[in-house]
Amino acid sequence: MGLAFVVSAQQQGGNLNGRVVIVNGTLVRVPEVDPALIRPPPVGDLLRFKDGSELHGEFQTMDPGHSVSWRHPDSKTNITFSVTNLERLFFTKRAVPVFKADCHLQLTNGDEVYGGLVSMDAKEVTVKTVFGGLARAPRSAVSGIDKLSASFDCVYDGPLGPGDFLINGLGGWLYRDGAMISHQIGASLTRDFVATNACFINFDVDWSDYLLLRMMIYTDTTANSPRADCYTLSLGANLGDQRTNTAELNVMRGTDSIGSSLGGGEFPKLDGGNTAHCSVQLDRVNGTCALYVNQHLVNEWHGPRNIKGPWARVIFADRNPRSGTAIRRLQIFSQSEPIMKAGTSGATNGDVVYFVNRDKAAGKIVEIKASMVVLAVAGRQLEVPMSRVSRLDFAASGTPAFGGRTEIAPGMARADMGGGNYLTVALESWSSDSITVNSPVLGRFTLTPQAVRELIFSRGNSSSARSANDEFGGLDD
Amino acid sequence: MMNSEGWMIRSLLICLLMFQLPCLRAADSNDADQLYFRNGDVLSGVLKRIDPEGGIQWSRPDAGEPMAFSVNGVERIDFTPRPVLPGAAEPNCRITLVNNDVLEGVFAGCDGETVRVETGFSGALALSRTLVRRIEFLQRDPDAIYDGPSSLDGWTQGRSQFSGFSSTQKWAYRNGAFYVNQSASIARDFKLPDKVRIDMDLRWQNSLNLAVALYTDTLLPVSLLEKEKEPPFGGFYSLQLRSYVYLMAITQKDPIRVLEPVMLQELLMTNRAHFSIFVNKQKKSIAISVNGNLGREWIDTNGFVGTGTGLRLVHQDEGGVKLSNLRIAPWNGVLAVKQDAPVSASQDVVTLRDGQTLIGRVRSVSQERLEQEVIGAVLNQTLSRVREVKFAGTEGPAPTPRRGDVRVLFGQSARLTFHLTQWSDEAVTGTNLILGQVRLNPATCGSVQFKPKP
Repeated sequence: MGLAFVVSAQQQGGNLNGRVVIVNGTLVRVPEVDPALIRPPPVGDLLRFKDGSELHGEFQTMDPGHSVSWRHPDSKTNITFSVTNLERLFFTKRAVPVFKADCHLQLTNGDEVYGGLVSMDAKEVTVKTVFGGLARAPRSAVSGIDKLSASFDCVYDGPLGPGDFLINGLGGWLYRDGAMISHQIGASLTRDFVATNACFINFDVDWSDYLLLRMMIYTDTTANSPRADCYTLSLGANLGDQRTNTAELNVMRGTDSIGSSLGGGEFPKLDGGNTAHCSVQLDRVNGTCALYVNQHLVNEWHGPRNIKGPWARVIFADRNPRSGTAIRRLQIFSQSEPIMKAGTSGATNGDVVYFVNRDKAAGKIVEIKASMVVLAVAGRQLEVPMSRVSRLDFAASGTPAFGGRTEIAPGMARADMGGGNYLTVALESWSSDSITVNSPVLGRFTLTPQAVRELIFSRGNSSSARSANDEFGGLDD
Repeated sequence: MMNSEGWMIRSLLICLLMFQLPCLRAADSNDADQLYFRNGDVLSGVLKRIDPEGGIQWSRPDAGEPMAFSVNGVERIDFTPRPVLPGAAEPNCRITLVNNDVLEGVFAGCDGETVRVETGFSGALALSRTLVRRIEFLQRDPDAIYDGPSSLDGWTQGRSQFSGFSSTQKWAYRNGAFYVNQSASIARDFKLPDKVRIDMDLRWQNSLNLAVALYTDTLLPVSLLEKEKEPPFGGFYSLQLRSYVYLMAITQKDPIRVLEPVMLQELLMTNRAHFSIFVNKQKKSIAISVNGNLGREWIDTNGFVGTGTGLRLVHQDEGGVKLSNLRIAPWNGVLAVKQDAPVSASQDVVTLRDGQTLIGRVRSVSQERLEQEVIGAVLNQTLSRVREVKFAGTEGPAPTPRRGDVRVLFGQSARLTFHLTQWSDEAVTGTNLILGQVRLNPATCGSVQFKPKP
């Protein structure tokens, strides 16, 4: 990207407090954050409104389509709010669901389901979910389906609290309402996971003004300075007058602290403004890395094979001096097998079958059986054993907006079920031990309240912490 | 700090309709107040009532019943700005009391014992001098070119096609100040004279990084890296305000000349300061002082490059900045900047508008003149030359607020701390340690703080 670099220097003695960095050619003093001055994040469930108001407390109950009952610590009685002005409802203290899946279903409305593939034909796909039993999706509503390898597992699903991470830099990253939010330029956020040959790192990121995020994957260090073999992925969005969004991958080998660039890629202007859904798929055996932003393939890099090292680790570092970058809905999947599918390009005019040998064929899927996919290609029909298939992409009806997900219609909510499962549903009933939801695509489910981690009712202000009313906080007496 | 005389008006029922009445609540206003909790929560709505039993009663359209919150969990309430009350008298003085409360009103005079001020429609308020720490006279200098800000009107926000600014319209106005927290430019052609003084108060988050373009002929920012490609512009000076300050002489075709920077240590230790910029075109000089202390005077031996008459302020994206008390006036060319003298235990201090300070007992202040004993002589000053009076022996720590105290802010500066009795749509009542019983029109209140700090 080349638009920003950081050089850190620390004054010896003197009365300078903090560090001096150069950003975009400007000398910047970045004071050290005094943890005593940082207000501890509020605890409890979160109720956020479209007007920027937000309350922490305890969710009591809901009358779907009508009202939410809420308990605030400073209120003597429960408060009832109409649902019409709700943006988001986040539940704290939710258990992490057990992950069990051999397929990953992606729907045209941006919903995602991980589960056990029960059946698939030309008309319907049936998946057994961990949150609500069987889910049946008409094929027309499916944009793609991944067949997962036997070793595929969800090794992290959060953030659930600051204790999930090693944070370098006191007060550098803070946890709030399901997100890790940066408060200091360069402070690193580190998460270890099970050592494997391939990983899939999915997360939502939102930021203030512009995004400058660095990820180090399979690195040996917990600090923001790789020394051994690792991959460094830098993301930039809303930078400069041209508002180009870019990503660049570097590979560090041995003691070469500068590394070698594998090049970059650009992704389109983000319809959601200051938010994006990112997916990094990295295979260190084959030396491939694919980056998706809002389900758009930014680039698939091919680098050195067999990056060694026992460390399975990802580090996030915010390079934006204004900080405020939030990482939320972070899932890390891993598998011991190499990633067999080539980077998928998303929206296509025809169906695409990806093979386990990383080849692919485009055409029209005319038949799907349990053991075979029949693909019409150039006037011929190709019969592909299902055992040779790694992914099916169905002809797209349009690229979903907003983080790869369509807008939320009135009366609907996007439910985060954990484990990478996201459903757009209408809430039908809510009691203390069960919730009934109706997905226009997958049908009706009965869930336990504990299965729902978050409900999003509206694409609203993606500010990670404060409402717009307090944007100049700290400047007044 | 407070003797028996200090309770002179303890029982006086004060009806304070503060003067520069920022707003009155319109009966049909849809604007919302903001309730800030101590845990960081914020809730928009409308304040209905505050009393010891019911706590804070708050309503909003999507909540069926008014909500009741305990005062203990609330940090403050900001009220939505209201329109100015027609016919309201504009205050011409600001009085700081020994408890750090600040009143604004129309100055009515001062003698050896009493300070009198007209507040609202209730008549004169008489305060013992021993309870008054300072009087600031807000009379506008008739020669001032600009005294504000009071709005964004007349200012131009824009961006260079080469700049890194993400958009325009990032400077905001609120309660007598400009605010910005992103890279942004704002400019105005003041027809700057050949000798000018520019004063401003700045407050910032993290590091200060503000560029002041002087004598510019363009209201749009100029990318210094791409200046040759910019639309034609005349020369100007860019005064870079950071922890170190330096001056750049900029023309479109010539290389940028940087005049020697100066490190201002006091800017490292604070996040607010008063800046004064002095320009003398004939002398080709530009000088800067911070908090009354001269930082540097630059003489451009290559000649004065400024060809325009405008001023441009460019925030260069290092955290938030608040700019207030911007004053531009012709300057007499005399660089006599002195630091404010500390308050003496036995001497009053008078500060004039040109920065001079005079130490001695203030005998009297009328609406036109100030009489002061200075080194055995009696000096008479016209009040228009006086910026402020500090009374002897009034410094000291403010009293710790009592349980149940609140602090109400009016506009940018005025504030009152009192023990709240009740807050309703009709009136705000309580008791103030100095003023006694207080009764306020709630529509005049800008915000209220709970458990205020000393």
